[in-house]
Amino acid sequence: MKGRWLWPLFILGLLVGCARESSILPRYKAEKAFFKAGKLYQRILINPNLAQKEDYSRTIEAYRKVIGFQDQDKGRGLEDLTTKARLKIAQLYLAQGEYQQTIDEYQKLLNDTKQDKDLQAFVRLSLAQTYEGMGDLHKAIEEYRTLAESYLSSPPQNKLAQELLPTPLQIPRLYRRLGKGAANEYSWARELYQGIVNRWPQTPLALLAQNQIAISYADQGKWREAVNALEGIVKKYPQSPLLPQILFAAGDIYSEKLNLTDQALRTYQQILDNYPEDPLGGRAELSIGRLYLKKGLPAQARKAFQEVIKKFPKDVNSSAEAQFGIGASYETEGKWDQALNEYRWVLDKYPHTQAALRIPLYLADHYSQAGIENLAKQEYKRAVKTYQGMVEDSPKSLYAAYAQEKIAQCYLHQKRWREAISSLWSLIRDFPPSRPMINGYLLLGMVYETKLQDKSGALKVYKEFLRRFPNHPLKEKVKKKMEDLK
Amino acid sequence: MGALEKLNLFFWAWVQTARSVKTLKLFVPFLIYAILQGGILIGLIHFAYPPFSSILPPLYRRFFGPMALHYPQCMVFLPDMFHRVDILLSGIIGIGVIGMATQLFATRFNGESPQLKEGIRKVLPLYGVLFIIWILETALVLGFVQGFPRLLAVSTPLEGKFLRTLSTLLGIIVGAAFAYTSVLVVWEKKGLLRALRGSFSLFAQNPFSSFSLVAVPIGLRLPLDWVLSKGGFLISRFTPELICWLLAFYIGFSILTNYFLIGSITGFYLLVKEES
Repeated sequence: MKGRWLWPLFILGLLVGCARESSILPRYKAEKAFFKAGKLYQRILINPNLAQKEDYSRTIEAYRKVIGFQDQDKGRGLEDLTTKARLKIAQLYLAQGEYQQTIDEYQKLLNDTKQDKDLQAFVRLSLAQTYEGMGDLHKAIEEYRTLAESYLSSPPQNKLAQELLPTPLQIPRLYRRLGKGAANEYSWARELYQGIVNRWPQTPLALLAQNQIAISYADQGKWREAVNALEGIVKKYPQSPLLPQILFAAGDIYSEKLNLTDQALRTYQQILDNYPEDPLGGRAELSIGRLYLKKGLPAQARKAFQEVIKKFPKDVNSSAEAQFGIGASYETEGKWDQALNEYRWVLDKYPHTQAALRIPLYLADHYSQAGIENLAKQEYKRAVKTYQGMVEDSPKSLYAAYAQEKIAQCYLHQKRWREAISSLWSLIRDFPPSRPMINGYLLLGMVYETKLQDKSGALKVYKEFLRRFPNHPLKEKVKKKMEDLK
Repeated sequence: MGALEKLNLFFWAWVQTARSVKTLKLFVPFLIYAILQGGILIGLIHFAYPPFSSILPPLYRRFFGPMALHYPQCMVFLPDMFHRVDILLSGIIGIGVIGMATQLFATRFNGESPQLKEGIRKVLPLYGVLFIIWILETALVLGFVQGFPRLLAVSTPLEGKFLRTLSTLLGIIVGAAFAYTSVLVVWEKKGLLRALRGSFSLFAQNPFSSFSLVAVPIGLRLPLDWVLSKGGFLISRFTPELICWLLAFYIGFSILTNYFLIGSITGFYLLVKEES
């Protein structure tokens, strides 16, 4: 009989326990909703071009459900989830080009998370990028400036600060896009970076800030100052793992901007001597080979190119370029047959590289420039066939788009305007947006305008460009072209 | 008895178990156990909901850490948690279920009609002996399957996959050595020591058959165990709830494998006894 009393006691205990432990339930439900929303988000990410409006709406709704849990259950520690959900909602609006909703979401986040300095900075950066994307450069500048002044004037030593470091430089860049002088803004950005260097000397953040100073000079074309800033990093931070990259950038400036070949050779050699295992070694050795070629020393250049292939076989792009360089070294010596062998070898050994992409057109152009018309005609025909093969190999890929652009160039070089136009229309219509596609629009407009004297054709192309890419940095240039045509 | 005759008995034990499928009463103990397992699974899946939230979250936290209380990570730990609770269930209820099933199979193989009430009545007084045997067997199996690989991993350079295979084989060998204890206790009314001695001796005389009788049904479940161990993959590629459905299938499938495991062992014992 006594045992019968145990059951009600057990049930009572269970219920008391439930009241205490059920606090995990709201979070569990919110996590489940967040996960499900994440799955929908992933589905959009797989191919954003194929995602429909309903997919976005459904995903946004799913994230709103997560936020709903916090509204139902205030103060239960769901802030992290709701913040993440709001960020996702803003990103989804942005992906659809719905800028106002994106800005609204970011503004709400800014209002609701005033205590979290890092999050505020991240949201402000997103907000600035959104304004920039929608072409409201004044507001973008305002946001970048707030971010720089409130966060980067005395940044914490964390990863976010490192990620936000380039933002002050965006301000003078946007000034330039607005057609305004930006010298003062560059000076202001440099002062800010110098402040970081002084505040956190000998830290990775200071090194990155010093690098930004170099970039700011490079932006302004002040190459001597830029390279001095980089050399300063090399002296101050000899142990930094970023040094190969810094040296490489300095080498490029010496070689390409200041034309100081010997200084450039020494800098690239420093990478090879001090960091033999660094992945940049292949590119450094390649640059050395190119510099020797520039100096008219083909044998030494060839040696450097051979070193690239031997020492850095995993760096396929550098190896392909080095193979091309070997061909060029023979060509410089007037040994065309040997050069031709090397060039063809690039196509066989390193397909799907930029070097391989260049070669068919390069060979045809060689015969054309040498005035060997029958060989040039044959080679252009062969080049078009090769590029068509590349397109078929990986249709819709970026590589295929580049190959399609080359097909058009083959026709353009032969002055076969109709075929060139047809290839360029195909590039514009059949491939996903990419750099060659943008080039395609400009080339197509140019052919209509200057080669066929067809103003309406050119206008049609430029109009379509502006319709598809209303916020592209080249839009002003295209608008100007349209005005000139009218 | 020659090797060929032993092989004949082994196959015959399987055949007569398969033939008994029509006798639905034989499934009742396994169905009862599956229903209980199903109840436990539902509880584990809904650990964050009342009334389970009063008992299970501390257990999840204790076994797997605080991450196990979050979705979808909790689903990764679900199969492990289920197997842990299932071990407990097999100690409390499972031994009775096996005893009852053994009694029903033995009655059926003797040409009589199995009676559920009689099965329960005969097994209940033997619960104590069966429980001690279960503790011994479980301790040894867990020792070989869980402890042995950890011990060897420290002292030898053997690879994890090899160790896991070896420990699973050793676990099956222990199971095979204990395989006949149930029929010896329930059907032959032997005491603890005589049942253990009898089972070990039968295993020693028929090592291949005993090993196969245990290994085949367990082996059939191994692919499912392997899939369930890939929780992270299942969650990222499919949905976390797939793990729940796989466990539900595992429970359903276990009705069949347990049926053949107990049926064939009981049948084999009776055939060996008849031959000798």
